[in-house]
Amino acid sequence: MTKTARLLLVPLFASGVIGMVALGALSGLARAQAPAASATTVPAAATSASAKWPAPDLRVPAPLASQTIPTDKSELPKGDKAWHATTLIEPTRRSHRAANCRVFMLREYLNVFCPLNIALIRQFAGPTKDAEVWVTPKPFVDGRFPDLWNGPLGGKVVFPLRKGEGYVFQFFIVAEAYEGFGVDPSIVVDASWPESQEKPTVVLR
Amino acid sequence: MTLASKLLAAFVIAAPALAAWGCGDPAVPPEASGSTGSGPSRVGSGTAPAAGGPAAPAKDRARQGSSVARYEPGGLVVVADEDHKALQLIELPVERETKSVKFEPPGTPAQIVSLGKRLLVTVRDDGDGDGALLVYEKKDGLDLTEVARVELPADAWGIATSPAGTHALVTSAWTAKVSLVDLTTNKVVWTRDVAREPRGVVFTPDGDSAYVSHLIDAPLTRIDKIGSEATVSRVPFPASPLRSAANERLSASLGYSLVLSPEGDRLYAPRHALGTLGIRTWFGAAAVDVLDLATQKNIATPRGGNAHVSMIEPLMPRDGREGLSTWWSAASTIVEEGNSAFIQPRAAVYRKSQRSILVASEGTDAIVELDAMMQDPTLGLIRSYSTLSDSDRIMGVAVQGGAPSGIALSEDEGTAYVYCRTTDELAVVRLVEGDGYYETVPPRYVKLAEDPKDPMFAFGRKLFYNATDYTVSGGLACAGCHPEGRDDGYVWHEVEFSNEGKPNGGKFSNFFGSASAARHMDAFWHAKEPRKTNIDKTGAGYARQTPMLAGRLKAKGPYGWLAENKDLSARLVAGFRLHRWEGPGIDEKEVTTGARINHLSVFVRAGLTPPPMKKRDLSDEEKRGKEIFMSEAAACSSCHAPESDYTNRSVAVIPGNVPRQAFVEEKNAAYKTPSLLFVGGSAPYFHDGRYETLEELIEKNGDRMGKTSHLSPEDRKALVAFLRTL
Repeated sequence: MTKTARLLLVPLFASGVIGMVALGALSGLARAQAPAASATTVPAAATSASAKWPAPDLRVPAPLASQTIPTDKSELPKGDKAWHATTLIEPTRRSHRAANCRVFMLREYLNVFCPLNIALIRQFAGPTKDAEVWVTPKPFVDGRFPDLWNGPLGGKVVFPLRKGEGYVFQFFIVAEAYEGFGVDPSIVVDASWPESQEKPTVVLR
Repeated sequence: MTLASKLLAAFVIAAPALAAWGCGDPAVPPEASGSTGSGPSRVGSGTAPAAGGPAAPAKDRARQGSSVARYEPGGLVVVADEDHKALQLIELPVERETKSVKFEPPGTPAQIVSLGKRLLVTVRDDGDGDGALLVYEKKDGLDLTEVARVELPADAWGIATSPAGTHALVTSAWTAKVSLVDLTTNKVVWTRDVAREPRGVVFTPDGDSAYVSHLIDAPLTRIDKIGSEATVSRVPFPASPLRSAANERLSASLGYSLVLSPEGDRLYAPRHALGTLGIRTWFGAAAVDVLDLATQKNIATPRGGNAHVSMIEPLMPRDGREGLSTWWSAASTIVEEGNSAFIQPRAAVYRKSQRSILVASEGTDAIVELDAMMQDPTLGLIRSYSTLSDSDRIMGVAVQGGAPSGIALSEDEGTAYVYCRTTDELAVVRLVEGDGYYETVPPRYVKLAEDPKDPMFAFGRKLFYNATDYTVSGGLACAGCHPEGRDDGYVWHEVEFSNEGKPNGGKFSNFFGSASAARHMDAFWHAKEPRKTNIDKTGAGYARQTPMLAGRLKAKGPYGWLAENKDLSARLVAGFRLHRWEGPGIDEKEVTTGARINHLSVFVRAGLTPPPMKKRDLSDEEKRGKEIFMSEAAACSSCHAPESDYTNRSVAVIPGNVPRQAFVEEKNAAYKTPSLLFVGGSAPYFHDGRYETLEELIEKNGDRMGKTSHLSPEDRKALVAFLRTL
């Protein structure tokens, strides 16, 4: 890839970063949208400097168990805009490792966003048709490794809650290694809804 | 009285008796309505509905046995100390100066249940080769009075009481039976044959059914209509679907325990999954399989082979950079999280307040707390409580807190009482709430018995159960495949590797749990370094069934399926090398390796107790079987020599030895004649486990081993009957 091509791709990555910040920021959704609109003109370095971790969300999440989940299958929500003004959810259980993750609900879909230095997300189990995973990376600039240690990075998984289905995803974070950086396993997203159960169980651990 | 009113009256009288089995037993002992416990709660069991009113909720009396239990009326913790044929009584609270008091029951105790005033104890061997259920009550001071003794099939081990507290189910491990005992009359109601090595047992909340786990294989046994016909069926329950290859149904071992959720809707089976995919787990993985009792299916979703992945750009291959392959934990589509959450699950309890499961990890000297709400709780390790306070500087085995093998919780669930078998202690482990980083308080110990006089025996015992000493194995103890010195009933894949460019041809052999696991690990680690292996399209490695050890190691040698090791020491070294993933070469001349070999040799010969066998005269059929066995026509005894434990220890080529599916052919292999001691209980048969029963073995043998094709159906039956007496 030529240097020019890389530079052309930078704005695309940058808009992805900002888009995910917007996704995670809830109360700051509108605030995050504004820089996204002008991101095409922002150099990569400036993007890195100006991007921030999502602002804390002071809303009280609604328990997953209190939600009425539609039984009709609907389409996977497309794009980040679809998630604006959705319900903030508290999963069935979360560990301290997932304390900063936020879970949104739209129709029968959950969007789990975790603002960590995420390097990779993998789906291990469950149908793939209506699920997606997305890492929001810093751009790879001029052949140099980006500043992986200081964020903001993050990632999301989106999947439906349907009776008889289950999902397992895992986030992997950036870690120190011989070759500069490596990957460490991190949060597991475990969702199951056995036919026999009234409500699904979603655990972030 | 009209006919209608007569019928109504009859119905009212009969209603309690017709009520559900768990609800309507009229013979509830006096204390059965007033006890509390920590078992799963269920409203409505234990008391018949009162005429004219709603059913009165009763205290749930469903309990499951363990080698350690709280005995509430006595204010005690009681340990079934099998190795010293004793019950160890420890007064609560445990203080620094607390000592245990030894009580000697008639036989070898295995599990305990505290039920009201009574203490129920299963006994493996009462000295005459029978099993038993002993019923005790506390006398003044630290003493017990036997109030009943119920004779049971030999090797009585696991126990569970019904929700009403009126009955107990007892598993007899070696004899593969389950018995129902009426605790109001102390009589056996029925005994049923089940699959090999039944261990953990649990009643369903309605008391109508029960599930049984096995030390061998993945399916559970289900018993329905316990109060009447008691029908037995097998519930398919493949292990660890999240860690298996696509469309594979994995086997399991070490199913010592079962745990029911407080709601009674989920059944947890902590065990060892065999043949899982993994980058380092040649031996398999930890699994807590969760059965949805409503659907009889595993809650876990099977692993998907090609699901979504997203990564940052530096992980992608580009400009000659390898990319993700460098980071093995994330590069694979295999679930690595929690695959070694525990090693050798020996016991488990549900911690209701935390919705978690505590599992005794025998091989790593720890109690691990797992999230019970996850599809496979091994993915959700909350915390690991080490039972270890100190370990040997050279061997790495426990000085204190070795091989946890039983757990009981305090009433507030803030303390776990843990029986540590290889150091003969009760460890009192303080539990914390929630997750997060927390330096747990070191356990307090109560010594139950003096250390064995022979230090070699003592070290050998610790090494046998320990999975962390890297010289002995690569992550799984001897007891992982030879539980209690018996066998896991599993056929392993012995895979050979060689590389002519390396010193000594780069030869080594390793065991794998499945052909898929062997292919996966080989492909992952050796993509850049092609090696010759005995892995091909048809299978991977040679078939090696785990042999039983207890009672079969008297001979000087040779050992190994091919008699390739001249004596036990040589076999142990071979085992050290086989039971790992490559790893360093083990030098038997190195002084500490030699010490390990010597210690283990002493323990496996003197410390592994053979299964109890009742001494009795042969029946007429068995005598006929013996005649056939000894006859020149059948020629069984020419190789299976009775005077040397039914083996001449020589090798023989078995004609027509076509390999089983997933294994490769071992050309011109000559197999050592195996001992037939305890053969009746060590199915499956043949070196590759292709025959499920002795009947099938004799039926399909033809004239390959001795000559049996000429035998009539009656004679074959007689021969099998005799073999079962060995």
